[in-house]
Order: sequence, then C-alpha cells, then structure tokens
Amino acid sequence: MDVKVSEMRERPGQDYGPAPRPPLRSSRCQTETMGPACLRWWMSHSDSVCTLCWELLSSDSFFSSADSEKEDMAAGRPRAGPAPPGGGRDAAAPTATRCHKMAARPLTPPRGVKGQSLRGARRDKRHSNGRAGREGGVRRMRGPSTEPAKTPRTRAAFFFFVRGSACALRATATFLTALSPLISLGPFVVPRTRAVPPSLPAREGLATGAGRRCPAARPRGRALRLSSEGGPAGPSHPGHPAMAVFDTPQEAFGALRPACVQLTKAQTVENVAQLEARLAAVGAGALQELQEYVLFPLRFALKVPGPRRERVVQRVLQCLSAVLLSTRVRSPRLLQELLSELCSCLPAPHGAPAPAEELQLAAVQALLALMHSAQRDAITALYQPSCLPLLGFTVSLLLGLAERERAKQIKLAALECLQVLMLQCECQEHRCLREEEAQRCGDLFASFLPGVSLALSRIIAGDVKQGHRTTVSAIRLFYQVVGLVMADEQLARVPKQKEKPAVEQSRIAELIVHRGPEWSKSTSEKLSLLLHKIVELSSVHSHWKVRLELVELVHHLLSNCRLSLVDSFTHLLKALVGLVNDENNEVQSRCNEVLQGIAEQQVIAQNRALADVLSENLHSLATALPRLMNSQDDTGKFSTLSLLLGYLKLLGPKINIVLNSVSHLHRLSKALMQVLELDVTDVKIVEDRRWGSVGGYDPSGSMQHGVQKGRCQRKYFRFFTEEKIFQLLQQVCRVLGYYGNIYLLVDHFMGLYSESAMYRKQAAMVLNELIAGAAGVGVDVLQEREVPLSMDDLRGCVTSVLEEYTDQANWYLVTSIDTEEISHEQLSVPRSGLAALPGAACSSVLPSPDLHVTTRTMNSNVWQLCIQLEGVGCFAAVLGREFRLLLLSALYPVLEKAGDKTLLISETAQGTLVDICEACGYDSVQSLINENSDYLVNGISLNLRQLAHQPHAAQVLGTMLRHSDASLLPLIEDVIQDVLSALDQSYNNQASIFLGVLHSLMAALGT
Amino acid sequence: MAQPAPDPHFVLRGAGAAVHALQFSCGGEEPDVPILFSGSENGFIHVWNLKTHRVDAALDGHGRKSVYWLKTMDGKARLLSQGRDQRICLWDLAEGRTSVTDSVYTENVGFCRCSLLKVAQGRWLIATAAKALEEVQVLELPSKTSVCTLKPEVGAKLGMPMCLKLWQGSCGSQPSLLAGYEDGSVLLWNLSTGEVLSQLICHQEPVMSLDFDSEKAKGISGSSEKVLSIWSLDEQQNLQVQKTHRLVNAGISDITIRPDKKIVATAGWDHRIRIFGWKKLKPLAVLDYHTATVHSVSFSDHKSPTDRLLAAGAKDHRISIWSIYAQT
Repeated sequence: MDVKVSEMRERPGQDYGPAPRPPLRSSRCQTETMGPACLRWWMSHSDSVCTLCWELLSSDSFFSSADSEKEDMAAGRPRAGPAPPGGGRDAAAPTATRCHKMAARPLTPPRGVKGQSLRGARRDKRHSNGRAGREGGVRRMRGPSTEPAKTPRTRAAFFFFVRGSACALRATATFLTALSPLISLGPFVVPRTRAVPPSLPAREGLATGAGRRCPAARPRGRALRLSSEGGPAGPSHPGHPAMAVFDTPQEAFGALRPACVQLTKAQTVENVAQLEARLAAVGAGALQELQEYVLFPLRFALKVPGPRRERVVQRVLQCLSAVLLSTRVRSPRLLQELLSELCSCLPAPHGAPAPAEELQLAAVQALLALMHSAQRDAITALYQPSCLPLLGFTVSLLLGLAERERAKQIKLAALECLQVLMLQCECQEHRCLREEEAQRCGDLFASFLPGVSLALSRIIAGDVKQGHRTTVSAIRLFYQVVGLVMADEQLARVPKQKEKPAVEQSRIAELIVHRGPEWSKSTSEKLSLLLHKIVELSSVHSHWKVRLELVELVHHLLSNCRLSLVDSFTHLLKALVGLVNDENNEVQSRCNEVLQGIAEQQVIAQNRALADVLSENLHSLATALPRLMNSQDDTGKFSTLSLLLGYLKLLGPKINIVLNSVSHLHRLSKALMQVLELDVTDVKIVEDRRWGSVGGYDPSGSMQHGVQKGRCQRKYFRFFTEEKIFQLLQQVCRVLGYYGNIYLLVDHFMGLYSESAMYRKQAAMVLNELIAGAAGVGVDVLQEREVPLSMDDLRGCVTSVLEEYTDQANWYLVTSIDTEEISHEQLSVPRSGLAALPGAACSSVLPSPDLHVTTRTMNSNVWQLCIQLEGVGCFAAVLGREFRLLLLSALYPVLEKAGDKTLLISETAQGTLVDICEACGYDSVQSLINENSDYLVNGISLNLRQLAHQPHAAQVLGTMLRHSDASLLPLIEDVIQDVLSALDQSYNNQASIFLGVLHSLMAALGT
Repeated sequence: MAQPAPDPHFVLRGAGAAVHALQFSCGGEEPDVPILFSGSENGFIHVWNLKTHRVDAALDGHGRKSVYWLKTMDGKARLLSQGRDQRICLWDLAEGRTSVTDSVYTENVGFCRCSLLKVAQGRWLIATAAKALEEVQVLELPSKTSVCTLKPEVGAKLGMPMCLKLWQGSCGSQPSLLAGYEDGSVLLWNLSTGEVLSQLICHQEPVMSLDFDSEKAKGISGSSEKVLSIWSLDEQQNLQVQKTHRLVNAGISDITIRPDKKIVATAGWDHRIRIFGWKKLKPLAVLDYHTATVHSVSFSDHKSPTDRLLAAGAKDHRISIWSIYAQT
C-alpha cells in the first residue's frame, strides 16, 4: 500500500487532470476513468465492488427468484453477441432479467382475458417497429453524431426481447385482470383519509424543480398534478382540477383502468399522456391504493421488448416520477425492483452512446422521486449488505453521469440523487438515521468511499465551466459521505476484528469493508491527499458559494471526523482560517461562525492533536513569513497575515503551547520583527521642526480643550503600505498578548528590544500591542480566555516596560543636530551613532569614533521615541486610574518630549498626554500637570543637578509654572533656589531659558 | 575616576518645615503601602505613601512643637512620637484613625531622643531623658511603669544625656542602655541594678548620636566635632575605643547602622549624608543633595533587600530618598 501512496504522490497531477482513459480492461463502472494509481487504490480498497456488483447484477444468480425463465435468459444472452461489447449488452441484460422476474410474479392468471392482452401486445410490437425511426424528433443537445451509433444497440435489444416477450406478455395480461375484481369488491378497499404523509415531498413541476432540495410538505389529499412540460405532444390540462375528482379507489380504478390498459397495449406518448391526464384527477389516497396497478404499465413500458423509443421512455419516466411523488413506496421489493429498472434507463458507463439528455434527466429524476417516496421500512431494507451490489451499481452509474455528462442539469440531478442515495438529503424521512442504521450505512458506504471520493474530487477539480452549483453539490456530497463513513463515533464502535460472515452471505460479506484502525488510517491518508487538492482548488474558486461550501466542509468534517481525519486538518484549518477574510461577506460571516463554534466547543483545547496541527502550521507559516512578506503583493500579504491571525485565534488559550517552545517563539518573534520593519528614509521626519514658543511645550493649542485625541502616528513600513495590514499585525500581537503568558512575552520582546537596535522599534511596537491585548483592549477573539489577567500582573508588566522605555539610554536619543542642542551635547560626552545620551551611570562608555549621526539614524530615533511615547499612552489607557501611580515616573519624560523640537515627537507626546489625561480621569492636561506638579518638581530638581545632560529640565519647569498657580509655590520654593544656582553655573548656555522660567514664576506669583 | 555621586531616588517635598525625625514602615505585605513617617519642626508628623510619594496624612499632636523622635510599635498601626512639648505620644493609626491614645509627660527640656526596645511580645522598654538634668528614666510600655531611673554618681559632671540606645544581647540576656552625654562620654548602664557598667570618653564635644551593633558588640558615635568614634564592648563589659574616623566637616546629627549591619549612614551638619562600610568604616559614598543640615537618616525595613531605601530629612524641608542597596 505504501508503494501506491508514494506513486500517487509522485504524480499528483494525473489524478486530477482530464481523466485518462486507458484501455485497461473492458471492465466497467468507475474504474476506467481513474488514473492508474487511483485505480490500484480503488481496487485494493473496494475489492472491486463495482466489478463484482456488475457481475452479480448481470448474472442470473443475483435474482434468485428467477425461475423457469432462466432458460430463456440463458438462451437469450448469446444472441446479444452482435451488440458491441460493454454498454449495449450490459444495459439490456438486467432489464431482461427483471422483465422475467416480473412475469414470474405469482398472480392468479384469469384465462378469459388472455387473448385480449396478447392482441394488445402484438399491436404494440407493430407500433414500436414503425416508430423506431421517428425518434430523431427528440431534441439532442449532444449533436447528431450519436444517432447512427444507436442502431446496433436497439436492434440487439430487439432481438433479445423477441425471446423473452412471451412471458412478459403473459404477465401483463395476468396483472391487468388481477385488479379488475376491485370494482365489485368495493368495501374490500378502505379508502384512506391520510393519503399522503405530510413529509412527502411535493415535486411540482419536476423538470424544473430538480435543483430544489427542501421540498415543502404537500397539502393533504390534494390531487396529483402532473408535469405536462415534458412532452409537447401530451394533452395538456391547462386547468388542473384543484380538487380530486376521484377520491375513492373504486372510482379511481374506473378512471385509470382504460388508460392503463391502453398503455399496456401500446406504449405511445399519447397513451402515457392519457394516463397522466387521468392521474391528474385521482386523489392521492386513492392513488396510493392503486400504486402498483398504475406503476405496472409504466414499468412495463420501460422494458417492453423492442427498440427503445426515447420519447416514450422519457414520458413514461416523467409519469412514473409523478406517481411516485404522490404515493409512498412501502414494499422493499418494489423499491429494489424500481431502483434496478430505473438504473437500466441510465446509460452504462461506457461503450454505448448515451441516450438523449432529456431521457437521462428524466431517469435521474425518477430515481430521485423513488428514493423520496420510499418509506422508512423499505429504505431500511434497501440498506442491507445483500443490496450492496445494487447500491454500488446505482452509485457508480450516477457518479458516471455526474462526472461525464456535460449538461449541468443532469450533473446536478445526478449529484442530488447520489445525495439521497447516500441518505444525506435534507428531508426528514432520510435524515434521522438511528445509530445502528447509520453504523450499517457507514459500513456499506465504506465500500463506495474510494470511488465516490475520487470521482467527486475529480468533479470538484473539473472545469469552471461546469458551473458553481455542480461544484457546490459535489463538495457537499463529498463531505457528507466522508463525514458519514469516517465519523469518529462510528469508527469507535467498529469492532477490532472483522466478524466472520455467515457462509451463505460470504460473497457479499467479502465486499463489505471492515472499518478497522488500519483501514481508517490508510483511508485517511488517501483522503488527506484528496482534501488537500479540494481545499487548494476551492479556496480560490471564483464563486463565493463554492468557498462557502468549503467552509461547510471543514465544519462538517471537524465536527464529525476530528480524530479520524486529523492529518487533513492542516489543510482544512488553513482553508478555514484563510477564508475569514474572504471578500464575500457571507463566506466571512459563516467562516467566523464556524470558527466561533470551534472555539466555543473547545475543539482545539480538548484535542491535543489538533492543537499540534495548528502549532505546526503556525511554525511553518512563521518560517515562511519573512520570505512571503518580501515577495507577495499587498493582497497576498494580507491573506498570509490573516492566516497567521486565524491560527492564533484558533489556538486560543492553547497559544502557550507554541510560546513555551523556544523555537516557535523565536520564529514567530523574528518574523514579526522583520515584517514590522519601518521605513526610515524619510528626511522630512527629521526636518520637521516644531515652531512656536521656545520655552518648552505650549499646551494652549487645541490640546488645551482636550480635543485632540492621542492617536498613533501613521507609520511607514518597509514591506507593506496598506494600513489594514498593519491592523492585522496589531491584532496578531494583541491576540498573542490576550491569550499568551504575558510575562513570558514581555520578557522575550524586551530581550529583543535590548538585543539589537535593528529590532528595537519593532519590539517596542509589539510590546505596546501585547500589553493592549493582555488587557483585552481592542482585541477580537473567538473565545474568552480562561483566566483574565489580574491588574497586578498587568501593572507589573507595564512598570517594567515603562522603566525600560524611559531609561536614559532609550529615552534621550539623538533626533536632531540643532546648533542649540549640539552645544550641550558637545559639552557632554561624545556618543555613538544610536545610543543615547549617556547618563551619569554610563558616562564611562568609550567614545565612539563615529561622531557623525546620519539622517537615517535620527529618523530611526524619532520613530523609536514616537513608538515609546505611544506605548506610554497605551499603557495609560490600559491601566486607567491605576496609571496614576506610574505618573511618578512617566509624566516628566512625556512632558519633556512634548517640548521636543522635532515636530513628530512633540505631537506624539502631546497625544500621549491627552491619553494619560483621559485614562487617569483628569479634566484637562492642565489639571494633570497641576495635580502632579510634585512629581514634576522632583524630576526638574533632579535634572537641574545635571544640567549639562538634561537641558530640558528648565523648559519643563517653565511649562509647569505656566499651568499652575500660586498653590504650587511652596512646593517649588527650593527648586527655584536650584534654578538660581544653576543659572549661576551655566550662564552662557541657558540664560534665556532660565529667564523665561523666572518670568513664568513672576507671572504665577502675580495671580 | 570615581563615579559621580548618585541622585536621590526621589525627593519628598511638602513637609513645610525642617525635618527632624524619620521612621519607615515598609515591612507589611501587599496591599499594605510602604510608609515613611516624618516629624518636622512645626509639630506635624507626615505620613508619606511611598508608592505615590505623597502625604497620606498629617498628624498634629505636639502643639506645633518640633517632633524629633518617631518609632513604630509592631507595624504601622501604633506610632510613638516625641516632641518638644515634653510629651511622648502613642498614636493609633489603624484603619485610618489618627488619634493619640496615650501620652507620657517627660518634663525633659532637652532634645535627647528616646530609645525603644521590645523585650517581649506586647512589652516594651523606653528610655528617655528625665526631668532632672543628668537622669535617664526607663519605663515599661504599655503600662508606663517606671523600671528604673539611672542617675550618674554625684560629681560625675556628665551633663545632659544627648542620645540613648537600649539594646539587648542575644536571647535572654539583660537589656542594657548606652547613653551619650554632653561631656563627650558614653556610658553603659545595667538596667536591673541601675549601675554604670562602663564609661568611655570618646569625644571632646557632646555626643550627638550613637548606634550600637549588639552582634559585633561594636558601636559608633558622632559628636559636634570632626570625628566619628568606633568603640567596642568586651567580655568584661568594658567599652574601648577601637578606631576614630576624621571627617572633613564637623558635626554629625544622626548615625544609623543598617539593619543588615553592613553599612552605616551619618547625617552631617555639612548638608551631606555619608555612607561607610560598617566593618572597617570604609567611606563608600557622600550623598550630596540637601542644602542645609541633615537632621536624620533612616533605613527602611522592606522585606526584599533590593527595595530597601535610605531616607534623610534635613533642615531644607526636604526628605531625600535614596536607593543605595545595589551600590554597596
């Protein structure tokens, strides 16, 4: 098996390309259209179910009830010799078989009518001979080329039926007379009031309603309405009687009998139409009683000897559907017989040219009607191992239709029919399988799984021109079948060892797959390949409904097969997560719903395997992220990052699994560092100066009124331009912070922050967002975290980050080369390119040889400060009033930067002040300064001591004085002393500033 | 090149007058806020919240007379304060109360700071200068009963007691009192007998402050002159001068050995705080921030060593807080 798997992998293209049709063998069914590798898989898995069931179907032994007519059959077969091998003969054979069987039904033969029916049959024969050529009138979508090819087949069938016709005719006669006593035996048949169960689907206008999946309940007792759209020749009834004319079986029988007899005698379109017309007037209850009686001529018409007249057959099929739709099939025998008879109307997979498309459609719809009308008991009887061949045959025919037919309608109808056949349709009757029934069906369908899944995946991968509805139905059918067969709860119940089959059933039992662990393992491997392909194709399908169905697929499989298909979830989750940001709203919202559902059910949290799958996905994505960011366009980047975000969201509280792994965290953080790299080439950033008052920051502008909200400065990134990508990255960080261990994360990114100047800005950005996320600010998640972060933890983190930000080495960066400042800076210590003004503690740092500060560096420093300032604002917002405690250390640095000469920094700092104001509950920046002037005085006083290094202290003091009143004076008494002594010491440099400060003081005294 | 002197960690402003006494109370667990009590010349005791660095409460109980000694009794709920109104007050500060629950009238007109020693659970001894000029009185708290009155021999001419230190050796031993006198001598008193065990003349000028390390049996005293004196107590209960340290500027107003007995801080009249290693009295740092005489130095009692602080209160109305643990 492994060998085959590898072969499949080597040539994945072959499985999905236009199906090659090598003349492998003249074998039938599915197998021929598969690629060689798939074929082997098929064969190994299904024990060549199709082949077998085919043989069974065409052999006499299958219908064990066939008795005396066996000889006829046996004799008839060789005569079919001239027919082309394959389809022609194959199609005819089962029909014949069943024909015999029908004839063998034990009905009391009343002799008197025998001659009459014989005559009728004879006349029919004549008719059919004469009509063979007129069939060209049927509209052919496929073109005329198929017409000549038909002839040998019909002729073969004709020869064949000559032999069997005798018994068929006998049976007809028997049947026609059998029910005649009914008229006289009125009380014998009790008219039923509840004629049609409400659940029975009403298929009005069948030809057009093929696509409908949820038929409304039919009103009780309503007269049968027949579709007259099928044949223009049929006598149409423009005014269908709203009420049934014949409500009792007796009346109905009287009305129907002539038409039935007529139809049995001569299978013409007119006769079918006549029957239809009569049927229209019969109440559903009555019709149910007469179901078999009415069905007989129709069934007979389907297998009447002689060449098939497609229009007649089509009309008959339509009529049959109509009858089936308004009645219920109660007998399992009838269901099976009808099933096989209808199958015979479908084209065999190969060889013979297919009949007209209308006919195929009618046949499929009749099948559909049959399945819908079947009652529960009948259905239950059908889904038994003994019927496996029949089911398999039907499935393979329908799959063949769905795959090879070009007409959309047929494809759709076939898929719908398959859906019903797999007991997956939405109507109530088929839905509620009991547990053991579902288990048995799962066992049965496991035999078809390889063929079905392969064929469906080929359909899904088919040409876009087939229309989205086909693809959608195929996807739906795919996940329904896979979901049933691979259902975890079913597989869990499968016994370890295959049960020994009873001897007589051994041949059938061999066909049944034992869904043991080995089987499920290897099947899930194969399915994983198919699913991967399906996901790949349909996640980028141009039609949104296909993508929507893909979401459903993931949802369905995730809720049913999360254990058995765990290998596939790599792709499935990727698709799901990727579709969160689909351009279509419906896909988006459904996707979100599904994700929400997954999160709420804690699918991931309770399933370590899935969490592992996700974290693996995450790891590989993180690894590829820098490369993708380099190479993709913005749309591509957006979807890549959405994927990243989706994984994180899905992991939810399990994020810590990823974070606790060093390599994961490393990858992820490095990816973020690279993606978030800023573009620092803009000279303008450095050049833009703040004009206006010299003595520090002037809050008399808009800020005074608290209008200007502290907002982030628009940043320019190296690898992307769109704002929404940045927002995604923000979300990524916030989700990380929300779920992840915040201490671990802060610690890690602080490490990066101090590790390299290259990462410093990005790390600060990430840190800001992490903390916002940890506090649950502006974070969009699928599920609540288990334990919300305590205020103490949050404050602890913020404090340590804040400390780092406002550390001298990170706060006093070179951002300009103003003459004024440079004088101080030269006074102080030479500095390296990026590092900061060395504080007292680091003044022993060796002077860097590189005294030249590039614009680039300054730009970078400006951004660094802005990000840190934004961070301070963000921390304030996160902590709210708790931030008041941190004002002690934060207010002075921010106020200092508010007076910075670089416009960007000063603006950002002012925004930060507003943020702080709001967070801490101060009315205005003024009251913020006023009420915290003691903190400011402390900073000023301390900084005045080191005037050379901290030239802004006086400015801050000036600012402060301007916004306070006399109440402040006792507090600053000693500071003024400090100012005076500082003025003494550095008269040359800062006299003007100090004088400004003193002026402010005088003004304050004056008030 | 020596490192430049560090800046204060923080400066507390708003005492409104010269600060004479400091007392930390930082040993409590969260959510207890670390607190610093300061007593100032205008009679107020300020309760500083060391988280917000702001005054939580200002206690007024000494009739606007200078408060020059503060001590907590088991946590921050009970505080003893001594003022120039000749009273020692016991404050009840629990649950936001700010009331004087008890007081002792010492009738002493000097400015000798008291000394408090916890001898047992719920039993304290307090030594205070008494009404008579040379006498020291020892009371038991909370009963306020007099344990003994220590009177020097007639004719000893020691002058007023200037500073007191009650101490108790390793478990069970008798509490003793070290007292520095106006004439520059330090006396060791036996509290049970009321006799002088040892006398040491270590300064020419009044002893302004002393502290004693009972583990190493070693003490340090400062006076108004330029000398710090380190003396030890031998087995025979004799005080001996071990070493003297000369200072640049005269006048020491307060000396404190850090609770971990590693460093000593002195408050100088020259506006400076000096830090020495306790073992060899190696000068470690000169903390220069204040602009007037420093009256008091105090180490905090934080549980975690890295949080521990040094506070200095000065005549310039400021209290400077220093974080020097990491640097020693």
